[in-house]
Amino acid sequence: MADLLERLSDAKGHVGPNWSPDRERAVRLRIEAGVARRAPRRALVLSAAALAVAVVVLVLRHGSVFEPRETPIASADSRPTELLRLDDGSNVTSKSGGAHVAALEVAPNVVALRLDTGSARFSVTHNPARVFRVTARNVTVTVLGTIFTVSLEPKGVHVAVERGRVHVASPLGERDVSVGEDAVVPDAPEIVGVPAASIAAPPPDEAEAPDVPAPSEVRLPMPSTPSAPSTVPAPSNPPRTSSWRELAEDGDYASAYKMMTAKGAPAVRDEPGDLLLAADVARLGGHPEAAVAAFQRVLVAHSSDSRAPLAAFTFGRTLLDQLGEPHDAAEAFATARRLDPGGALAQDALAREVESWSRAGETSRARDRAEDYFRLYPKGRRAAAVRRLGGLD
Amino acid sequence: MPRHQSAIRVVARLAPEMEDATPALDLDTLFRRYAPYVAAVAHRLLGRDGDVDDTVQEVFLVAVRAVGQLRDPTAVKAWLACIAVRIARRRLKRRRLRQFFGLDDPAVYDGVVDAGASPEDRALLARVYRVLDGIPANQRIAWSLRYVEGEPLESVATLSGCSLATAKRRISAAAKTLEEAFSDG
Repeated sequence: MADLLERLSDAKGHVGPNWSPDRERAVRLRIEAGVARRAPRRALVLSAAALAVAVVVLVLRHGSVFEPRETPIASADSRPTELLRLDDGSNVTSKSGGAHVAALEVAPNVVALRLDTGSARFSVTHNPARVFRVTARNVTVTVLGTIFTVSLEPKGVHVAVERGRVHVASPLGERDVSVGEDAVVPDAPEIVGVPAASIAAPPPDEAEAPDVPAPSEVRLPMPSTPSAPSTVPAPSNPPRTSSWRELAEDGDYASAYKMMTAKGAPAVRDEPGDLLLAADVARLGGHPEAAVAAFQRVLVAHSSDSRAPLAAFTFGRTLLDQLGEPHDAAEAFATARRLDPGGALAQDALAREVESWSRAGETSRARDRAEDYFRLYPKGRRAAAVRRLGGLD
Repeated sequence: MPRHQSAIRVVARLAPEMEDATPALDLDTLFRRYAPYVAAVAHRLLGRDGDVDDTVQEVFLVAVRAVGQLRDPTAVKAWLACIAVRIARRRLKRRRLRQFFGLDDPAVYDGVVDAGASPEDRALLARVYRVLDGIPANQRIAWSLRYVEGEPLESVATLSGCSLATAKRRISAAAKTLEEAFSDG
């Protein structure tokens, strides 16, 4: 044993990952996607009492539809926490209680966010070339450049404008709200009992995927119940933190998967964040085959979402490493590159595509992609493996 | 498509009583400082480069959620190592279960070392990791922490969440298995 340890002490200095800035960035993207789903919940719990007081006050003060008010929106008991920040300086901070804001789409010409819980302040840098949109229940607030607050209240959505002007639209009507004004949009009574898709569906732009059904929720394949419907109605207020999600956040993917696929359990919402979480639960919970549907859903129905390249890349890894499907894996890695050719994942995706074709026995395709790799990344960090797997040695 | 997601910054904060004394430990700071360290720990414990990214992801997701419970910000590195060990243990147990049912691909450990390793070192470590694959997760982790990570026994016990005596016992059991494997030539 002493001899082994002696030899090991010399060799172990070489044990280490090929950790690179690009790889770090790719993992960071995945973490952010997960954190954005969960970060504010603790704050929600901690400030529930303060929120309750604020809600009571607001409900007493705002009774009519779109009634302009000159009301200060500052909340003395709030501890603003930055939730999101964009490159142009636009940011979102929580207000009087545990706001959760989901990024549906962040692109040069559109930013689409959804307020899931609590109250949040949106400071938007003026950019006439971009639409900045916030959805809260069935209310959509659209702006060009302004500062405003959106709060979910028990009986409606409260919009207050500090600077600039916003456009507020709901099934009850629409109007502009200017600086110093705020408006309360009550929940439309006719919404109660209608199909979930009309409640939780994304704003029109997100729903415009042609030829693709856009249910508000989708259910992963369940081996134990093969006849389960592919879509299920959502509750009128979709549960953002049902049990399987909490288990997943605790890292107990096996239990999360069991809960997620159990009869009567909350389904997976048809939005990239929830779909990717479901895919994580499936693949890390020992059921990688069940992750396929979630990945495919992201790539088919949400291909313009900024998380789609990550979905394609992780899909490829799942197919290659866990499901032993190198042909399909190669296609998935190619999709990841196509969706984000200059992105942090592109080089790794091409290298993994070479590996996939190689493992599939498609030596010609492996070689072609390997040549692509060296043309694009002459000093790429995967050069040795790509050269070997692509048969370029 | 530009890297929009990277423009989003998510902030996690320390427990309230720590805020005055210490700056916020946000994801940016934690990840920038410690991601390479966590990746290295995960790589050495698991031996498979393909498992590293998922493990780092899990570690920081747990860390961001639990950072408010961290009472001593100076201990953040050890705290992250504890999380990494816990997650690695779970992955190793899952791996052994898959092995038991014949679902785990035969591991190739050629890539466990960097390009600077000699062929002898490469072969030695590949063989060590193949033997480790047959050892219970707790024993494997204790031995790896002691002889691959180079941690003192007390740290092995702390990181493994067990007593010093248990840590020694686990290391000894793993060492015995390795010794037998290597004595066979």
